[in-house]
Amino acid sequence: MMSKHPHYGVDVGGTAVEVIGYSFLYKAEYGIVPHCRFGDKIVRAEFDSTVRLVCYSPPNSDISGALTFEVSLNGVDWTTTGQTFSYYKEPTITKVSPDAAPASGGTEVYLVGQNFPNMEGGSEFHCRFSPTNSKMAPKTMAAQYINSTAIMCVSPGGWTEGDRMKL
Amino acid sequence: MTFNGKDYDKNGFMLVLYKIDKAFPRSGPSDGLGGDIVVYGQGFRPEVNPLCRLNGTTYEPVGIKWNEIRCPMPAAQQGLEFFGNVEFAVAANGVDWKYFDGGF
Repeated sequence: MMSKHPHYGVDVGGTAVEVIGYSFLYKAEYGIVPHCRFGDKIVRAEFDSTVRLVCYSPPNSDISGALTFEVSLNGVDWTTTGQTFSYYKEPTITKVSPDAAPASGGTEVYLVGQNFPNMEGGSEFHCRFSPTNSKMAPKTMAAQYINSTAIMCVSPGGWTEGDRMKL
Repeated sequence: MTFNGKDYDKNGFMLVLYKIDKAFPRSGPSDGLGGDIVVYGQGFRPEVNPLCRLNGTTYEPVGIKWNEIRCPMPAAQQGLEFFGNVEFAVAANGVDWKYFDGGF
Protein backbone atom coordinates (compact mmCIF):
# COMPACT_ATOMS: atom_id res chain seq x y z
CA MET A 1 0.00 0.00 0.00
CA MET A 2 1.42 3.36 -1.02
CA SER A 3 -1.33 5.80 -0.17
CA LYS A 4 -4.97 6.16 0.62
CA HIS A 5 -7.63 8.79 0.32
CA PRO A 6 -9.33 10.26 2.28
CA HIS A 7 -7.72 10.24 5.71
CA TYR A 8 -10.93 11.12 7.55
CA GLY A 9 -14.47 9.79 7.58
CA VAL A 10 -17.78 10.35 9.30
CA ASP A 11 -18.58 8.41 12.46
CA VAL A 12 -21.59 6.75 10.84
CA GLY A 13 -19.26 5.03 8.39
CA GLY A 14 -19.68 4.48 4.68
CA THR A 15 -16.79 6.63 3.49
CA ALA A 16 -15.22 5.17 0.36
CA VAL A 17 -11.49 4.94 1.06
CA GLU A 18 -9.38 4.54 -2.04
CA VAL A 19 -6.21 2.56 -1.48
CA ILE A 20 -3.39 2.87 -4.00
CA GLY A 21 -0.51 0.41 -4.15
CA TYR A 22 0.65 -2.50 -6.22
CA SER A 23 0.41 -6.30 -6.37
CA PHE A 24 -3.14 -6.31 -5.11
CA LEU A 25 -4.90 -9.57 -5.92
CA TYR A 26 -8.29 -11.18 -5.71
CA LYS A 27 -8.38 -14.93 -5.97
CA ALA A 28 -11.12 -16.13 -3.70
CA GLU A 29 -10.52 -19.75 -4.63
CA TYR A 30 -7.09 -19.46 -3.00
CA GLY A 31 -8.28 -17.45 -0.04
CA ILE A 32 -6.83 -14.25 -1.44
CA VAL A 33 -9.48 -11.66 -0.62
CA PRO A 34 -8.36 -8.10 0.15
CA HIS A 35 -9.38 -6.52 3.45
CA CYS A 36 -8.91 -3.22 5.17
CA ARG A 37 -8.53 -2.69 8.89
CA PHE A 38 -9.69 0.51 10.56
CA GLY A 39 -8.27 0.27 14.07
CA ASP A 40 -9.62 -3.08 15.24
CA LYS A 41 -12.44 -3.28 12.69
CA ILE A 42 -11.93 -5.30 9.54
CA VAL A 43 -13.95 -4.88 6.34
CA ARG A 44 -13.79 -6.56 2.97
CA ALA A 45 -12.21 -4.45 0.25
CA GLU A 46 -13.55 -3.99 -3.23
CA PHE A 47 -10.90 -5.19 -5.62
CA ASP A 48 -10.71 -2.70 -8.47
CA SER A 49 -7.33 -3.56 -9.97
CA THR A 50 -3.87 -4.70 -8.97
CA VAL A 51 -3.10 -1.10 -8.01
CA ARG A 52 -6.38 0.06 -6.46
CA LEU A 53 -8.72 -1.13 -3.72
CA VAL A 54 -11.76 0.58 -2.25
CA CYS A 55 -12.87 0.05 1.34
CA TYR A 56 -15.94 1.49 3.01
CA SER A 57 -15.26 2.68 6.52
CA PRO A 58 -17.25 0.91 9.24
CA PRO A 59 -19.22 2.95 11.78
CA ASN A 60 -17.17 4.09 14.75
CA SER A 61 -18.30 6.28 17.60
CA ASP A 62 -14.76 6.84 18.90
CA ILE A 63 -13.63 10.16 17.45
CA SER A 64 -10.93 10.76 20.02
CA GLY A 65 -7.93 10.02 17.81
CA ALA A 66 -6.41 8.46 14.74
CA LEU A 67 -6.79 4.74 14.15
CA THR A 68 -4.28 2.59 12.34
CA PHE A 69 -5.20 1.72 8.78
CA GLU A 70 -3.70 -1.29 7.04
CA VAL A 71 -4.62 -3.71 4.30
CA SER A 72 -4.31 -7.44 3.89
CA LEU A 73 -4.78 -9.80 0.98
CA ASN A 74 -5.70 -12.77 3.15
CA GLY A 75 -7.14 -11.24 6.32
CA VAL A 76 -4.16 -12.54 8.30
CA ASP A 77 -1.00 -10.81 7.10
CA TRP A 78 -1.29 -7.06 7.33
CA THR A 79 0.77 -4.25 5.94
CA THR A 80 2.69 -2.12 8.46
CA THR A 81 2.66 1.25 6.74
CA GLY A 82 1.68 3.39 9.70
CA GLN A 83 -1.22 4.89 7.77
CA THR A 84 -4.02 6.26 9.92
CA PHE A 85 -7.69 7.01 9.58
CA SER A 86 -9.66 9.34 11.83
CA TYR A 87 -13.36 9.72 12.41
CA TYR A 88 -15.34 12.88 12.98
CA LYS A 89 -18.90 13.35 14.08
CA GLU A 90 -21.19 13.78 11.10
CA PRO A 91 -21.73 17.53 10.60
CA THR A 92 -25.06 19.09 9.74
CA ILE A 93 -25.41 22.21 7.62
CA THR A 94 -28.57 24.18 8.24
CA LYS A 95 -28.03 27.43 6.39
CA VAL A 96 -25.93 29.13 3.73
CA SER A 97 -25.58 32.91 3.81
CA PRO A 98 -25.75 34.84 1.61
CA ASP A 99 -27.50 32.71 -0.97
CA ALA A 100 -26.85 35.19 -3.76
CA ALA A 101 -23.48 36.34 -5.06
CA PRO A 102 -22.01 38.22 -8.00
CA ALA A 103 -21.01 36.08 -10.95
CA SER A 104 -17.58 37.70 -10.76
CA GLY A 105 -16.92 35.81 -7.49
CA GLY A 106 -15.25 36.94 -4.30
CA THR A 107 -18.20 36.69 -1.93
CA GLU A 108 -17.61 35.22 1.51
CA VAL A 109 -20.26 32.51 1.76
CA TYR A 110 -20.89 31.27 5.30
CA LEU A 111 -22.16 27.79 6.06
CA VAL A 112 -23.87 27.46 9.41
CA GLY A 113 -24.57 24.22 11.20
CA GLN A 114 -23.29 21.91 13.89
CA ASN A 115 -20.38 19.54 14.60
CA PHE A 116 -18.00 21.09 12.08
CA PRO A 117 -14.55 19.52 12.55
CA ASN A 118 -11.48 21.66 12.03
CA MET A 119 -9.88 20.32 8.86
CA GLU A 120 -8.27 23.60 7.83
CA GLY A 121 -5.04 23.25 5.94
CA GLY A 122 -6.00 19.98 4.34
CA SER A 123 -6.66 19.87 0.62
CA GLU A 124 -9.66 17.66 1.32
CA PHE A 125 -11.55 20.44 3.10
CA HIS A 126 -13.37 22.51 0.51
CA CYS A 127 -16.61 23.75 -0.99
CA ARG A 128 -17.76 22.68 -4.42
CA PHE A 129 -19.84 25.00 -6.58
CA SER A 130 -21.71 23.06 -9.26
CA PRO A 131 -23.71 24.88 -11.94
CA THR A 132 -27.22 23.51 -12.20
CA ASN A 133 -28.21 25.13 -15.47
CA SER A 134 -25.06 25.03 -17.55
CA LYS A 135 -22.53 22.44 -18.61
CA MET A 136 -19.58 24.16 -17.00
CA ALA A 137 -17.50 22.00 -14.71
CA PRO A 138 -17.83 22.42 -10.93
CA LYS A 139 -15.28 24.58 -9.14
CA THR A 140 -13.84 23.88 -5.72
CA MET A 141 -12.64 26.47 -3.24
CA ALA A 142 -10.70 25.91 -0.02
CA ALA A 143 -12.85 26.21 3.08
CA GLN A 144 -11.96 28.28 6.12
CA TYR A 145 -12.86 26.94 9.53
CA ILE A 146 -14.44 29.59 11.78
CA ASN A 147 -15.70 27.41 14.62
CA SER A 148 -17.72 24.25 15.15
CA THR A 149 -20.85 25.96 13.83
CA ALA A 150 -19.51 28.10 10.98
CA ILE A 151 -17.33 27.67 7.90
CA MET A 152 -16.55 30.16 5.16
CA CYS A 153 -15.85 29.66 1.47
CA VAL A 154 -15.17 32.40 -1.05
CA SER A 155 -17.36 32.06 -4.14
CA PRO A 156 -15.43 31.52 -7.36
CA GLY A 157 -15.78 33.70 -10.43
CA GLY A 158 -15.32 32.95 -14.07
CA TRP A 159 -18.83 31.73 -14.78
CA THR A 160 -19.65 32.43 -18.37
CA GLU A 161 -23.05 30.80 -18.36
CA GLY A 162 -25.70 29.66 -15.91
CA ASP A 163 -26.98 31.53 -12.93
CA ARG A 164 -27.50 28.93 -10.23
CA MET A 165 -24.90 26.98 -8.31
CA LYS A 166 -25.44 24.04 -6.01
CA LEU A 167 -23.16 24.36 -3.02
CA MET B 1 -19.22 20.94 1.14
CA THR B 2 -16.81 18.22 2.11
CA PHE B 3 -14.57 17.79 5.10
CA ASN B 4 -12.62 14.83 3.75
CA GLY B 5 -12.68 15.35 -0.02
CA LYS B 6 -14.96 12.38 -0.49
CA ASP B 7 -18.23 12.72 1.39
CA TYR B 8 -20.21 15.74 0.21
CA ASP B 9 -23.20 17.07 2.07
CA LYS B 10 -26.47 16.34 0.35
CA ASN B 11 -28.37 19.45 1.35
CA GLY B 12 -28.23 20.93 -2.12
CA PHE B 13 -28.04 24.55 -0.98
CA MET B 14 -28.32 26.91 -3.91
CA LEU B 15 -26.30 30.01 -4.66
CA VAL B 16 -27.96 32.32 -7.17
CA LEU B 17 -25.55 34.41 -9.21
CA TYR B 18 -26.32 37.95 -10.25
CA LYS B 19 -24.68 40.43 -12.57
CA ILE B 20 -24.75 44.20 -12.42
CA ASP B 21 -24.49 45.89 -15.80
CA LYS B 22 -25.14 49.60 -15.34
CA ALA B 23 -27.13 52.24 -13.50
CA PHE B 24 -29.19 55.03 -15.00
CA PRO B 25 -29.51 57.94 -14.55
CA ARG B 26 -26.16 58.84 -13.07
CA SER B 27 -27.11 62.39 -12.26
CA GLY B 28 -30.18 64.23 -11.04
CA PRO B 29 -31.52 67.37 -9.38
CA SER B 30 -30.33 68.19 -5.88
CA ASP B 31 -33.91 68.26 -4.64
CA GLY B 32 -34.16 64.51 -5.26
CA LEU B 33 -37.10 64.83 -7.60
CA GLY B 34 -35.40 63.16 -10.53
CA GLY B 35 -37.09 59.78 -10.24
CA ASP B 36 -35.56 56.46 -9.31
CA ILE B 37 -32.01 55.42 -10.07
CA VAL B 38 -32.35 52.11 -11.88
CA VAL B 39 -29.62 49.49 -11.64
CA TYR B 40 -29.77 47.06 -14.54
CA GLY B 41 -28.48 43.51 -14.59
CA GLN B 42 -29.87 40.09 -13.87
CA GLY B 43 -30.41 37.70 -11.01
CA PHE B 44 -31.83 40.26 -8.57
CA ARG B 45 -34.21 38.93 -5.92
CA PRO B 46 -36.10 40.79 -3.18
CA GLU B 47 -35.71 37.93 -0.69
CA VAL B 48 -31.96 38.54 -0.36
CA ASN B 49 -32.60 42.13 0.67
CA PRO B 50 -30.72 44.26 -1.88
CA LEU B 51 -29.57 47.67 -0.68
CA CYS B 52 -28.67 50.99 -2.25
CA ARG B 53 -26.12 53.47 -0.93
CA LEU B 54 -25.92 57.11 -1.89
CA ASN B 55 -23.48 59.54 -0.35
CA GLY B 56 -22.78 57.16 2.54
CA THR B 57 -26.41 56.57 3.45
CA THR B 58 -28.00 53.19 2.91
CA TYR B 59 -31.50 52.97 1.45
CA GLU B 60 -33.87 50.12 0.74
CA PRO B 61 -34.76 49.84 -2.93
CA VAL B 62 -38.18 51.04 -3.96
CA GLY B 63 -38.56 48.20 -6.43
CA ILE B 64 -36.83 44.95 -7.32
CA LYS B 65 -37.25 42.81 -10.40
CA TRP B 66 -35.08 40.00 -11.76
CA ASN B 67 -33.35 42.44 -14.09
CA GLU B 68 -33.47 45.74 -12.22
CA ILE B 69 -33.17 47.33 -8.79
CA ARG B 70 -34.78 50.73 -8.37
CA CYS B 71 -32.97 52.94 -5.87
CA PRO B 72 -34.50 56.11 -4.44
CA MET B 73 -33.00 59.45 -5.36
CA PRO B 74 -32.99 61.48 -2.13
CA ALA B 75 -32.36 65.21 -1.92
CA ALA B 76 -28.68 66.11 -1.68
CA GLN B 77 -27.46 66.11 1.92
CA GLN B 78 -25.35 69.17 1.15
CA GLY B 79 -28.44 71.22 0.29
CA LEU B 80 -30.33 72.35 -2.77
CA GLU B 81 -27.39 74.37 -4.05
CA PHE B 82 -25.13 71.34 -4.15
CA PHE B 83 -23.53 70.52 -7.45
CA GLY B 84 -21.09 67.61 -7.63
CA ASN B 85 -20.57 63.89 -7.31
CA VAL B 86 -21.38 61.62 -4.40
CA GLU B 87 -20.65 57.93 -4.09
CA PHE B 88 -23.26 55.51 -5.34
CA ALA B 89 -23.31 51.77 -4.73
CA VAL B 90 -25.66 48.83 -4.70
CA ALA B 91 -25.47 45.51 -2.87
CA ALA B 92 -27.64 43.10 -4.79
CA ASN B 93 -27.30 40.49 -2.04
CA GLY B 94 -27.25 42.97 0.82
CA VAL B 95 -23.58 42.24 1.49
CA ASP B 96 -21.29 42.82 -1.48
CA TRP B 97 -21.22 46.48 -2.42
CA LYS B 98 -20.66 47.41 -6.03
CA TYR B 99 -19.47 51.02 -6.26
CA PHE B 100 -20.09 52.77 -9.54
CA ASP B 101 -17.16 54.67 -10.97
CA GLY B 102 -17.93 58.37 -10.89
CA GLY B 103 -20.68 57.89 -8.34
CA PHE B 104 -23.86 59.88 -8.87
